[in-house]
Amino acid sequence: MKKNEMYSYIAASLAILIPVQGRFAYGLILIIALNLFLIFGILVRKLLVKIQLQDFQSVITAVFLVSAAILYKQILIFYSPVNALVLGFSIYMTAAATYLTSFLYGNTERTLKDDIIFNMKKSRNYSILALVFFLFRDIFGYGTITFPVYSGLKSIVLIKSKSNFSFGTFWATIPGALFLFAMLIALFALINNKFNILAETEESSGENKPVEEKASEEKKNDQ
Amino acid sequence: MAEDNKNTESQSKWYKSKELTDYGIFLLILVVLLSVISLFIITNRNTWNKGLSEQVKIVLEKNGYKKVAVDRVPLTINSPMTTSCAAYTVNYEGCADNEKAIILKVSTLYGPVAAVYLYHGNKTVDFVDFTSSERISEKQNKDLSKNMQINYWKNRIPAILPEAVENKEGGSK
Repeated sequence: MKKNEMYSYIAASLAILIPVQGRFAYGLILIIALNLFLIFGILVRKLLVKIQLQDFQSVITAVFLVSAAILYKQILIFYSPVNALVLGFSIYMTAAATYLTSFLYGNTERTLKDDIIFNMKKSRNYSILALVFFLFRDIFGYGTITFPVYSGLKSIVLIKSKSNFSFGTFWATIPGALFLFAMLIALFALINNKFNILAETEESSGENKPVEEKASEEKKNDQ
Repeated sequence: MAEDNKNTESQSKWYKSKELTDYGIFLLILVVLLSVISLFIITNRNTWNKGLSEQVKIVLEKNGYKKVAVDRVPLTINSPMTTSCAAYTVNYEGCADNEKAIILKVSTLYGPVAAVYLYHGNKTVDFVDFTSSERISEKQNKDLSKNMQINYWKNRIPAILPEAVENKEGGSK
């Protein structure tokens, strides 16, 4: 992953993952929104290329994404008014996050189908990570797994605690979310670093092969 | 030479008509999108008010209020800065006249939660409960938020409901 992409994903995560309650239901709503906005943004970008309005691409795409966010919130109000009340502005932040992470303000020479597949693959990895993040906070912070329903949240209780205080509640707080997020970034950076070192080692070992091995490879190629 | 001029003229006419067609399609897409959004906003007003008034009733009944009846017609909130809230006239066993319940989004250490308050008039406000408060985290959240966020809205609600008028088109989103 390039550094630019990493920073945009960090910014998007701070907008989507942190300020929302740590319930899996809210994560589900926001990640579905993220993917729908992504497809919508790609379609708008292709439309603008077709009608040769690329000069205004960044502005028009942003406007269309906000419209999509308004429409999504209305659909959410229809499905569950209480959850729409609680999530509120977070849906618009998700639209902004989509704009950042998918580089919708930039141009691409891919076809529509290839563009959608390429971006959905990237979004899939991020979506899985985000859902796991919400699931962790829901299970260890609240002891439940929740799903959105008309009246609010449908909870499946996993951890029944009889005491009035539980250490796990830290993960349900905003500081707990920040701490968890920081740990994830550190882990990701470590793994990414190891992969980069491995890749560099493989490249350098390919250049420094002994002369005999190179000669035998050439003979095989001739045959 | 004359033929070349005619060809270029016809080509430029064709490009202009193509541009007009493209812009026309784009404008049509914009109009359709705005129409769909407007339609959803208009039809969802009842759903919003019905859903939140039902939630207010559930919270009041869960906290020991009996024979609760919440009017589905929302009250007008007198504040452009207050978003994500709704107020309703409410009746329950032993209540005074003209009592109001307000449901709004409160930002807490655990994230935003929906809270229900009762406004008894004369600037007397009582916090009832959060809409979801069974788990330990939610109980801790209530305890932590008492001094700051909950009290903030207890003081703020009389200011945003001073001359509450029944309005069929009220409630802010």
